Amino acid sequence: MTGNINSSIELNQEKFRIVGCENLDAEKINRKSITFWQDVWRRFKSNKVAVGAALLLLIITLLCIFGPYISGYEYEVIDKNNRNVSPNTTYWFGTDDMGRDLFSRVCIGGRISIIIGIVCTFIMITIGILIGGIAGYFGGLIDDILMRIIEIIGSIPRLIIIILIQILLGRGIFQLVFALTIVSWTATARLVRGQILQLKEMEFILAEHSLGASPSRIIFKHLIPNVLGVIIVRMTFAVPEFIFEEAFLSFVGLGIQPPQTSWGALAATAQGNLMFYPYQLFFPCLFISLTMLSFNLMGDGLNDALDPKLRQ
Amino acid sequence: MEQAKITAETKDLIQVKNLKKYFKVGRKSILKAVDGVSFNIRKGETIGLVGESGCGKTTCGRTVMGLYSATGGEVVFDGINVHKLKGKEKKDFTRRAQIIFQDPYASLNPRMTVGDIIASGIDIHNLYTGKERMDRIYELLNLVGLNKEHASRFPHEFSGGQRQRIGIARALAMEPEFIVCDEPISALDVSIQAQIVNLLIRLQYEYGLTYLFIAHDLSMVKHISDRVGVMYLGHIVELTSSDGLYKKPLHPYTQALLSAIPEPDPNTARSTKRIELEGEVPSPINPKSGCRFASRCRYAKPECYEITPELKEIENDHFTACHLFNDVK
Repeated sequence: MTGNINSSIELNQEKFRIVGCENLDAEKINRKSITFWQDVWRRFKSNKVAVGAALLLLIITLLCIFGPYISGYEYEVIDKNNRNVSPNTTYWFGTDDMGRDLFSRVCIGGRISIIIGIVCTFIMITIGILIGGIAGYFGGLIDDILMRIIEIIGSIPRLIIIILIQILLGRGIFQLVFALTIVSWTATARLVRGQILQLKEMEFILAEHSLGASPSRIIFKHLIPNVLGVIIVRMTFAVPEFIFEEAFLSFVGLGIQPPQTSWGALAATAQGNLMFYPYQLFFPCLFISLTMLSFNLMGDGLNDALDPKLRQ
Repeated sequence: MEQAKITAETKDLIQVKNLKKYFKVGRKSILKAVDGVSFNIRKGETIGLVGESGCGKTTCGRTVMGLYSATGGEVVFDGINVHKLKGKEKKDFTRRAQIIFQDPYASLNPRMTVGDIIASGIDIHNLYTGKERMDRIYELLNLVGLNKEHASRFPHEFSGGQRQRIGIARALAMEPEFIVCDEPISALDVSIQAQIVNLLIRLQYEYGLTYLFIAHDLSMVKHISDRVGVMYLGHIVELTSSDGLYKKPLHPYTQALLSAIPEPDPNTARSTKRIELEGEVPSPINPKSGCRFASRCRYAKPECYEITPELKEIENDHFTACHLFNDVK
């Protein structure tokens, strides 16, 4: 067998020629140069569900901003003649038991709900990054002290803290935001600390130390850009959590107080009429669910787009 | 390559004296990664540091650079104690000594462009700005065999070998005299290893660099080093010229290590007997006194378990730490 191959293909010097080594193209990269964020956007775009969720969120937000102007009804105006009207062409979502236009109320309530969600998230993330960053970067005793504080806060039931704060400071949006953020930053701080601890030992940080970099350069140029992805994902998941929590607190009467309203407060008032006018509960709940679902789906999409481990 | 011959009389650039680096693991355990290492590095030479995984080579290199604070001992770089430096002096020292890291994937910030990575040192020390800075980046890219266009790209677009060269360019940007090469080739495949090693040799020739070359590939170390130190569990067991080490290894551990190099010629391979070491490397956590190698040594005597042997000159410029050579001199 081997003999046959050897005799049929005779190899000799003349059959070979030196082609040389082409060094010119050896270092060439054919792939288009794209930044990290362009790459993230490219992958996020390819996820149809996440893009759909982002669009839905945009629609809900626009509706909350411009909705009351489209419907032509003030959310506070009481109309005694039009109580508990079922959804029709004039009152798109119907009216409540005081004759107020439910569509306008859902939009206005949405503003409060979304604002609380976003504001709480930003405050929570800021505190979380600061505390987590300090604990992770400096380590040692500072880390120990901060982590014990986090554990203590984490060990008290959230509801108790929220109720206590409302008893002490009264009820209202600011108190609610304060109460919600004070119990929730611990998880973010833990997350950021873990990331920083992991990054701190990476060789590119050691390389910066060996180049004589200052701590501020290491923190702002190296550590924060590298935890940003994780933080953004955390933020997209935090917003619906806060919206839901606000809705829950308003539903049990601890949150937004009349005349202000939110999706949770709307659901709470509608609860009494559930037997006869179920649409009054249906619309606020629909918006809560859609918003939460969209944020979660978008968060999943962002998570996939930002996860460096999925990168090729 | 014509280079000034490095002899024992050449001036020392670095003196490492009884360097110790311990890590605390758990409440009572201490990991003695580097335990009393002494050697000198002469100006313009390459000193290789070999040993198996976990013997403290990398820790030694990083402590020499001042990246880890030393538990004991000192590193004297051109008359200055590296671990006593503070503030501006420390920053100035980083211009003279640099390090190339082992893992080309972890040593570059994935969020920065290659140009910015290479210019890190330039930016930190405000060496150049604007157009001069860009020119310097292009010059450095060119020096390590990459081209201009690569400056705007991100690390993930490069292969391992290219990334390693970016790391080298970053170190070179500071125009250092001394570079710690911390296993710069172990994460690369063999064809690329030669490329990087030849680049390092070329740079040494052009700029008169001094290297501390850490590796576990013995043949590569022989190729690049003037002298080689063999480490075992935080101790240097043998230190001599690379020819001397390969021709006449004295320490039983070095002998075993050298016999493990695969022999390309099957006839020679058949005739040489490989010295097989028994047992595992003991843990560096709370190590026993005496010679660290005693438990695996074929020649171990009772005193090996009691007294830690000291590094002493057996022949001209050939140091070893072993009780077998107590009688010599």
